Amino acid sequence: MGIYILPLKNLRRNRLRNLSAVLRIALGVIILLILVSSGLGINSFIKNSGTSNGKILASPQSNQTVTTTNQTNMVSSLVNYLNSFFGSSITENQFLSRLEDLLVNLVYILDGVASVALLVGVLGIMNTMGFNLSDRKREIGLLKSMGFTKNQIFISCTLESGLLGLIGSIIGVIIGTLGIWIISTFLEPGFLTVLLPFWLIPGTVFITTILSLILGLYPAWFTSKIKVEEALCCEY
Amino acid sequence: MNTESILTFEDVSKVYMKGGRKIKALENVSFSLKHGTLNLISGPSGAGKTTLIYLAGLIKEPSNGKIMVKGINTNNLNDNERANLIRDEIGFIFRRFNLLPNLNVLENVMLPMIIRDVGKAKELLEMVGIKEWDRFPRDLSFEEEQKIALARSLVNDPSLILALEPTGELDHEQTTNFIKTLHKISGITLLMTSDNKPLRKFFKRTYQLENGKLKSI
Repeated sequence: MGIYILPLKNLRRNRLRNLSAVLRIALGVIILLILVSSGLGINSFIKNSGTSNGKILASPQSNQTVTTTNQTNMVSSLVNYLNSFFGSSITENQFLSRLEDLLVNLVYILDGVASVALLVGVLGIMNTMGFNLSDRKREIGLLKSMGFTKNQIFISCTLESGLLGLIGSIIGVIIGTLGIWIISTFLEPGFLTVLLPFWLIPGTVFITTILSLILGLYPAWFTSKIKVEEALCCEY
Repeated sequence: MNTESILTFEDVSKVYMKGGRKIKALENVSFSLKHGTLNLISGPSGAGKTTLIYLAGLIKEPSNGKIMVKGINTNNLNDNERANLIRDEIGFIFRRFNLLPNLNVLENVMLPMIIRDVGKAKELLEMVGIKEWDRFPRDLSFEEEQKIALARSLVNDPSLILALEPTGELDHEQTTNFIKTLHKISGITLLMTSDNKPLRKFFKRTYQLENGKLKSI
């Protein structure tokens, strides 16, 4: 037994509070995964649909398939409809160029929303750890009276927030991956795809855990500074 | 340097500031504890017993005077040196809430171990009369909790055990059992506080603390 096993043992306590923190992180991770993979899908869609001039859904060339012809017809009729509805006179190329710009911007917006969703989920760690540690003042006093240093207590408390982040991200990645797989099966093949590259899974777990560790630093630092005599006066 | 003395107080005073007023918790306290002795400090509530134990356990620093643990002057130690000295040389027993609630008995005893040794932890638990190691603090009586705290305080073979009113929550029979357990452990140097006068007969040296002043009885 050492002080560094305590974070694992402490997960069993304040179960509801820890569970709520883990679920918030998981939700953030799910939103991040879905939005980032949708963004990647849109990017890939733009690239795959592009011709030599880089434009999406460009006019069919001799070796392109019937599907592309159908899509071009669909674009022509859509442009005609829009022109007649708004009284405008945009060409197919102008329409496609604007659509491409819109999709590229959409990718950025999706990435931004995903980052905010993850951050909001992980920010709860600070709150949860703040409450958890203030409940445990006396224990911190006990640990100090056993000769554990400020640094050891600081690391142990930070590890606890990292552990919450790790568990939340793993749950989020599992549910998110399943969600993406389900969404992909409903999308028409060849149309918009949702991509889940392998790097996104460990990347998300890693970033979430690191963020949780960073956000856990303040409550851990605050706790490690508690004076023993004050901490020992606290009751559970 | 007196190596025979485990704990030495030399003219130690402790002053607190409360509401702009100076309160003298301890005044020029001097004493020395020899290796292997059981010592009791008694005195009424508010006499300064807790302050004395906290000073001896390096939890607080004196306003004046010198505190030596095994010949080491503790006045000029930094936080890490202080923590290491506590871990190596001092064991604590408090009045209550000595154990971490999410660890079982064995885990609680092993927590401060410098070198992990399950056998030693079990041996200490057996010595204090605890045989069920997988129970949690919520399932223990006060007496059992104090005995486990005693076992835990011994895991790193400290030179000094500081017990702050360890019998405060125990009835007469439990107190007697606890003191008997203390006597079974050979070679420990104990400094215990209590306002229970009948306990004096169990200790080699007793001190009376009143209004921050210590007298040997």
